[in-house]
Amino acid sequence: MRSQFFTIFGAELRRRLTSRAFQIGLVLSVAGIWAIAQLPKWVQQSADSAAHVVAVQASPELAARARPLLAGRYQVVDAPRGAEPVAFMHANRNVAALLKLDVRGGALDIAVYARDPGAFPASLVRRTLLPMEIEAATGMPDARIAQILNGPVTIVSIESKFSSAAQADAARAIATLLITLLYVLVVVNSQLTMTSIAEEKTSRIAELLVSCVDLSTMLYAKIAASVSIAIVQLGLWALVGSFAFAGIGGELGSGAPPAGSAAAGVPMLSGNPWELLAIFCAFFFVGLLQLSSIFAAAGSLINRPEDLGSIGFPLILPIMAALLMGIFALSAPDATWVIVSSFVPFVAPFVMVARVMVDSPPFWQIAVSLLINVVTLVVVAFLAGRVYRVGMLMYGRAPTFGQMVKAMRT
Amino acid sequence: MHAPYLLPSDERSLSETARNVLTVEHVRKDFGHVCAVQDVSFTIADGAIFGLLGPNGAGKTTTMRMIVGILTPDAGTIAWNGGPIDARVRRYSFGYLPEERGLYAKLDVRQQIRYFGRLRDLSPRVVDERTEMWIERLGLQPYLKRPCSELSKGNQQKVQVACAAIHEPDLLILDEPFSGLDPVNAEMLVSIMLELSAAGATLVVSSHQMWQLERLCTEYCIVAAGLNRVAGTLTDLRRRRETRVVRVAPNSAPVYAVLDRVAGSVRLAERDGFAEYQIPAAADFSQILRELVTADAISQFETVEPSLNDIYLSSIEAVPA
Repeated sequence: MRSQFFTIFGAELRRRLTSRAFQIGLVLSVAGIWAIAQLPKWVQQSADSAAHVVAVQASPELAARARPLLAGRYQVVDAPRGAEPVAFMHANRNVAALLKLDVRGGALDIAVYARDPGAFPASLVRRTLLPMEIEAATGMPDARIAQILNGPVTIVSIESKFSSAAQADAARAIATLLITLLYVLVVVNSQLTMTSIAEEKTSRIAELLVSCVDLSTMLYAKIAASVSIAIVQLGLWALVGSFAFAGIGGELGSGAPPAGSAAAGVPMLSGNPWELLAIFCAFFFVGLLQLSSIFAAAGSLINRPEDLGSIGFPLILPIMAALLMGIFALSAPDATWVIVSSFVPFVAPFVMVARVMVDSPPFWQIAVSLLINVVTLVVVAFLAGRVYRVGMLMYGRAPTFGQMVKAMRT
Repeated sequence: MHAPYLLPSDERSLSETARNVLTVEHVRKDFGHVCAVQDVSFTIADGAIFGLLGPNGAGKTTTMRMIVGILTPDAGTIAWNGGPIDARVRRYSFGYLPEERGLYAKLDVRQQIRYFGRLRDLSPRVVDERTEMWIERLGLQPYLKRPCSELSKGNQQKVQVACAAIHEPDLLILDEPFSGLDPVNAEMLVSIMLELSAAGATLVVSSHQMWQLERLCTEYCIVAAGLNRVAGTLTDLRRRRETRVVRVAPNSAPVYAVLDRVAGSVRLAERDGFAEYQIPAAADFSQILRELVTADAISQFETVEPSLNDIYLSSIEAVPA
């Protein structure tokens, strides 16, 4: 039985790894991860090249005062005082915005002529030129203004695993990516398992196999091959991702420990990336095995290759819903619906991973959720084995639910 | 094109003492409201080539599927060497060529045969040796590099035969093995089956090509509507017929008069100077011959043995559709 398992496992592995679809998919996905990692930089670069030139139209004193304040963020050029702003912008295509500055009635008057007003929100402009506004209103010296504006701000993280907003943002970005990867891996590999089984059934090779192989062994060997392929993909993606996201990844796990957790004495996860990885992998495998089993059972019910889509699509919809729940959970990891759904089979792999990435759920919740899902996996795998055994030899019309139940009992 | 060692099937009949290896007793299989097999029983002797015959829907494939364990009988028993058929027996002792053909489309011939060899737990060395042997035996060398989806139906069939027999099973079940084969390849398959039988394998064959089965099989079972009709060697089946066909020449009026007087006789045909009559098997043929010789100058008196096809047709015609 063991040798049969490994024969089928090896054949399935070889079949998948040598298939053109897998190879093309792998190259594209690796390129995609690299591209996603580079995207912010590319956006920034293109934004930099377009938005960094700002023209200042003001009196020589005001322009001299504004120039160093703006220089930290933009490349600053002077606009002639008499120039009509709109005509100037039309004439200078490289200038992203013209800031017209004046002091009237003891207040700084700012007018912005921008190609993209969204890139120059009033709050940002006001914050950048705040020292000039204070000076215009109070006549306070520069040094005093700088002293006031640069006073220390201390942020203490309470019951949060992140010590800064930047760290939290980075964690959410990575969590979104990981959950999406989880979805892609689960859906792609489960569908490949379904396709492989459907091929065996529709090519009528099933009877030849059935006479020499235990069907349960066959099913589990195929699922094991699917999971192994997913590990290869995940490993490759992680390798590419670790290089591509090196900058963002450094933000994770480097924060101060949550104040609330230590005080309460509740065993909570730290931001240790290895623990996060272990939890991600555990839920990933459980989720993949659950869904592969279901897809495999569905594949055995297909009579014609063209039925793959019609059976596969309804199965993907709930997984898509689970993915969305996981992504929404990143914004509200302590919401009641998120906590509850992180225990629900099939949904938990997405939602619990989301919770762990951006929050610090108690360890017992993670353990219970995993246990529920492992038990579900055992039940699902058993039922899938029964359905598969019956479905592989049923041709003609799709069996009714009642027929399936009856056949599974025999 | 006949294989030189091919003997008339009755001459190859197994001795009375041959041990029965497969016993099928009163098996029944229902699919919902449809009864596929009602009550089928037969035994197969060690080394026999057993022909399982019957019209479409008679229950042949279902019976074969029950033997190889794909289906479980609702009633009755199937035994191999007197014991139950477990997964180990099915895997190592049985080989099955199903009626439905199928191969992995992308694998080539060698990969396909090897894979099934490995599934039967053969060592890589043995798998390689036997794969090459089957490739050569089946004349598949010109197609080795092609994926199986690109092979002709007949060549696909040959690959499947190799897949079913690579582990040299004790019992090889072939469901419609000749379908899709041209006469040359069908003849090749017949000779392969005879070789397997000579090597000690027991074969169960279902086919609608009676002339091929008549040359090949040593025992038969004819089923119809899920029931046994007749079973045994061809000699047994002929012996059990209630009538005989006699052919007499010339077809003169005195000859007809003698034959018409035989109780239960039926005139069948009148052609090429012969008179053909169906006569009850219980009739006294010596007496009939004496009367014919007395009545006319008889140039031919022949008892025509019924072919397997005749026996088959008469066996199934009594069965309601």
